[in-house]
Amino acid sequence: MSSQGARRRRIELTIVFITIFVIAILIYFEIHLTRKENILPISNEILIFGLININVILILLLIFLIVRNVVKLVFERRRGILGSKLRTKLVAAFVGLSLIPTAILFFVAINFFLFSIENWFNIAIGDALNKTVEVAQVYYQQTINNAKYYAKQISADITKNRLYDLERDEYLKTLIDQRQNNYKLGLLEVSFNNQNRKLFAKDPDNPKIVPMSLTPKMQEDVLTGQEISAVLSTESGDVISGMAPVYSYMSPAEVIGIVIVSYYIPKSMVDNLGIISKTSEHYRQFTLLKNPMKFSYIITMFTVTLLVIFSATWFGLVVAKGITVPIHDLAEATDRVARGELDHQINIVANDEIGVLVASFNKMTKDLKRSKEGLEQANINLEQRRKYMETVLGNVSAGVVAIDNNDIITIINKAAEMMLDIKTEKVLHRKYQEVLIPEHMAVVDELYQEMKEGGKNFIEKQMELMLQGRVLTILMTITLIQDDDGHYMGLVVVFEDLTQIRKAERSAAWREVARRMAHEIKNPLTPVQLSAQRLQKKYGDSLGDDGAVFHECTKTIIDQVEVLKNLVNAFSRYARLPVTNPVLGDLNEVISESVVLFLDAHKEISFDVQKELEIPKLNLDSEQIKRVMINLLDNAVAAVNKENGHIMIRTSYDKVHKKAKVEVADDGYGVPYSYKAKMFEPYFSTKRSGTGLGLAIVSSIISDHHGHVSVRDNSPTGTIVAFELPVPEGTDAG
Amino acid sequence: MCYLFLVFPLSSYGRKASITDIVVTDSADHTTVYARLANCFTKRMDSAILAGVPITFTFFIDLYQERSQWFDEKVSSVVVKQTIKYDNLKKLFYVSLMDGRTESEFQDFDGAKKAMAELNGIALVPLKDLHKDTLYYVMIKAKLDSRQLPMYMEYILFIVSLWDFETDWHRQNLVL
Repeated sequence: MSSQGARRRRIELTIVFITIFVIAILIYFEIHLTRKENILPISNEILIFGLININVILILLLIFLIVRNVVKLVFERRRGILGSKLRTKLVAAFVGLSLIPTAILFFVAINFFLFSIENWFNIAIGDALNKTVEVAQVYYQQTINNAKYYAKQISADITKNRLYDLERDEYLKTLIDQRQNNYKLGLLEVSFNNQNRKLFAKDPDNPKIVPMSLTPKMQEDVLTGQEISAVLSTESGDVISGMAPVYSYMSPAEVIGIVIVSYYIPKSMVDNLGIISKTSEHYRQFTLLKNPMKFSYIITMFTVTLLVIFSATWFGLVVAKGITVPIHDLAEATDRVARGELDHQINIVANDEIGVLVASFNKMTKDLKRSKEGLEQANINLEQRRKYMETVLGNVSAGVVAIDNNDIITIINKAAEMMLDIKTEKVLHRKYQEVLIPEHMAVVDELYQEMKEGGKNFIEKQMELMLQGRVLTILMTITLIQDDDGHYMGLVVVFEDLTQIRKAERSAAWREVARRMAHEIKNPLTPVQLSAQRLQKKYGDSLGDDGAVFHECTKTIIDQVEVLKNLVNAFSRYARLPVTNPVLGDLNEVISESVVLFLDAHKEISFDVQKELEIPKLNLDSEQIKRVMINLLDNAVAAVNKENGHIMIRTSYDKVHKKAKVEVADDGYGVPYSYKAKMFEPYFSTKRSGTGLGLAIVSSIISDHHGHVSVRDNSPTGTIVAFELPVPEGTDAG
Repeated sequence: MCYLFLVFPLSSYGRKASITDIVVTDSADHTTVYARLANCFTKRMDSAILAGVPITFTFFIDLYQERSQWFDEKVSSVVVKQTIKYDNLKKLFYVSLMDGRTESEFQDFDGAKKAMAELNGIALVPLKDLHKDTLYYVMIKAKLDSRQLPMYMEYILFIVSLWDFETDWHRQNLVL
């Protein structure tokens, strides 16, 4: 903006200089063209032309600048440029303030001038001057008439007394002296024979008076009989002469000489009369110029008025610019600061309030920048802390869920996500009441009530939860969050998954039980069985009728011991589960081999096998997986109707989570919810002859394969028991 | 804006002034010019003269040699000023003719105006400077110089400029 403004100002200056140059050339030509006819000194010419043209330049320049700025202002106002409205108001105020007094002054001054001019030319003064001049004119005319009259009288005396004769020269001389003396003439001249014979008498009081030198025309006029007059101006005064011809007595029509009577008007008198004459001349000239003068004054006043108005407009524009430009800059800077350019500073140097405002603005901007930088740094720190916390939360094994005071779930860490098998995006920022199923909600309410009754800020409790068909053993810690003032801020729930630990502990405990049972029970069984067999052999035949009873009892003992042995063997096998030895194998093949065993044995039950062919090879111990399948299928067969039961065996592959899944679904009577948590524990069976170790073995084998077992209800009836096995990285499908 | 009229004054008012009765002839040793300025006095000018304003007529007389292939050559150029001034005290009109070489006084206004409007025997160029069988012509025009008002009023009052006149150039061939 500033460079554009400077460029514009340079252009304006160039225009001004060119105008001045052109005007200078114009003045030169004006002077050159008019010099020859000029009667004024050359310096006056230059001065006058210069003044006139400077006026013209100033007016034109002022008009140009003002019109340009006013037009610019109008356009800016139309375009809605910031500050244009204020500038318009200021300019209008200046013009209004100057226009009213100037217009009043203009009209008053014009009327005053016109009134004054009319006064100058009023009739009384004009008449007085005319009369004065007339008096002067009469004085001159009277003197001329007197001169001519006396000249004529003397001429007549000379003719009558024939004094022109040379012999009467003395008489003529006496006459001249007498007449000069009697008539108080300044100079009396008489000449004959074309001025060859001259006599004169001079007033002794005016010795400076010089004889009139007649022009040829004068001589011609007098010699043709005319009486003429002449006024000769000299340095000492005016000489007024009257001339009359002298006729011959003998021939009255013949002019033989000239009588010249002259009066002397002293210089002081001439000067006074001259002043009267000049004054009258000026007055008459001004009378001629009265209307032009009026017009001139009107034009001059109008020009001055225009100059005042233009100056006021210009001043208004300048003042408005002085105010609005900083405001515009401030507004622009505010806009830029609002857009985030906090480095922007206003470069306006002023000592007034605008300067203070600009300095304050610049300081504010700097402070804002500093604050913003501080805020940004704080945000960065906060973000770092948040990320750190997130990382910590993400890496802790415990699941963490935070709920705010509006029951909105605000934080769920990765462990919680995995542990509870939920999608964060589906539950985050939702109320926990909307997310939890009724069974879990009942648990939460119970815990909350317990915490409330206990008057504690936290509660820690171990519990088992069914989630997505899995039983989780978790240690849940709920902590109330309170601010410094004790206001409730929300809850933090921490889960620790104890499932595997509990499972391992139980498994270990049961294996210990099984081992002891096998050890403690099996050992006395063989002597008991042998003793029973010995008793039967030795005393069976010798007891007669009672022998049947005896035989039946010993047989019962032997049979039950056999049953006990089987039971003990089963416990023994559970206790001595072989170490899993996984190798890459085909899961579908293992499943097929397992199912084949049941197809022939249970022809009344329909088995439906759906295999996912894209399951890649995975690490498995085929013997143990077969055992798992046999256990699961045993349970399914036991659960279904023996006449039209239906068992579905389905394999699938989750490419995303890299897990192969096997489901065994039956349409049997199902498993109650309360049993589901204990199904995989040893010695839990709903079958009469069940040992309760089948699903415990399944769970143990699947755990050894780093998979997990789940159970859920089948639809419409029955149960689905499924297990998932991880697929190692890098194995291809098929 | 009126100042613009001052810088470029108007040239005519009312009737058009013109030069008539142009006679170019030979005197004993010079080519001389006689001419008369017609319609040169207006009522406003008469009033101004009677109010004591001196009025000057300027006559521009140029003698050219005609050339067929090139611009005509200016052989001689003469500027003659004739001024009339009225003395209201003595009721006399002083007419300065031919740049003041002749001073005449007139008691009647018409006689003075007649003398002002006439050019009588203005010597242009010595005869010896002219060539025979060459075509010469005289261009003549007259102009009123009105800038003789009191207090330089003529610079301020553009109305006064309306008194001005400037005739067209008039041509008169010269035959040797």
